[in-house]
Amino acid sequence: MDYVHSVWSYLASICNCWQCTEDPGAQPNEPNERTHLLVDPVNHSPALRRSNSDGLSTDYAHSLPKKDDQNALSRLVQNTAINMINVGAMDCHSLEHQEYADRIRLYSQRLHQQWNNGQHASIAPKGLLKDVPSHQFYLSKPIYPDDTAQIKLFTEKAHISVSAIQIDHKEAVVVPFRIP
Amino acid sequence: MSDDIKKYLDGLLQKVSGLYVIQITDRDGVPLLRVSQEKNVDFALMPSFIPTFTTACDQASKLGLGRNKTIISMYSNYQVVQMNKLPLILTFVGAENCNTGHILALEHQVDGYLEDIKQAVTEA
Repeated sequence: MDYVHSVWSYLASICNCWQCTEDPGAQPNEPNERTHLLVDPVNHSPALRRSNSDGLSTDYAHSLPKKDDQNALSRLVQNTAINMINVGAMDCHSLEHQEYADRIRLYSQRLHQQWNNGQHASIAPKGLLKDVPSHQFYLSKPIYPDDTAQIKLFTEKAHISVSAIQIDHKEAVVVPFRIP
Repeated sequence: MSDDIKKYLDGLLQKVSGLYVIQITDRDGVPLLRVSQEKNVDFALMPSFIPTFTTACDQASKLGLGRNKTIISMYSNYQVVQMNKLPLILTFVGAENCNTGHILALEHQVDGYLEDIKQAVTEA
């Protein structure tokens, strides 16, 4: 009896499995793990459509006017040319010798003319103390005894005059406020 | 004008030890002013060398580092400092052991004169 019962339960479980596989077929609109996210992705792939040039021209003829298409294309070409690193363009800058000489003459004339008009900025040195890059050059120079004597004389005179300064105060230094 | 500015630039040239040339050109490499010591550095003053700087600046900005205004080129015997002062280009040529910081510091001392010189180029 137990044997018959186990066989019956086995058959029942198989029937349940068949029902599971048939469920999606019964409700086709409900999304499950086998539903495609993109509807018919092969036929709608842009890569495939691009290969068909006739289709491309007919498709985009409706979406964009012809002039805008040309503008977009030229803008794209311009942007590409601007963003591209073009090392070969470095050789393009070569002036003709005649133009070179003409420009030198023109610039020198203009500079002279400008200076004569008095429109130049006068640049005076902005400070006495400047950085001296070649200090070794100045430090290695010999110091003459005359210069040393002169500097000593000036220093002594300065010292004497500073020590001779006296303050002759005539008023009281501390002023009392009239606080009641 | 040229004499005064040349005298001024000559003073700057003497200030920085190892500096050989100061040159102001337009962007095509046509010289407006040049002061130099007795040194053969013609390679850096050739008409083809300076316009290359302008193009190199433009092209280098596309590498993603942004627009630069100074390019320092170090060679085995020389260094060349080029500054973008469009429409002018300021070029310094010095010895390889010349203090580059001192050369760069000259920029502010030349700037005042450049405004006047720019007018001569922009009128062209």
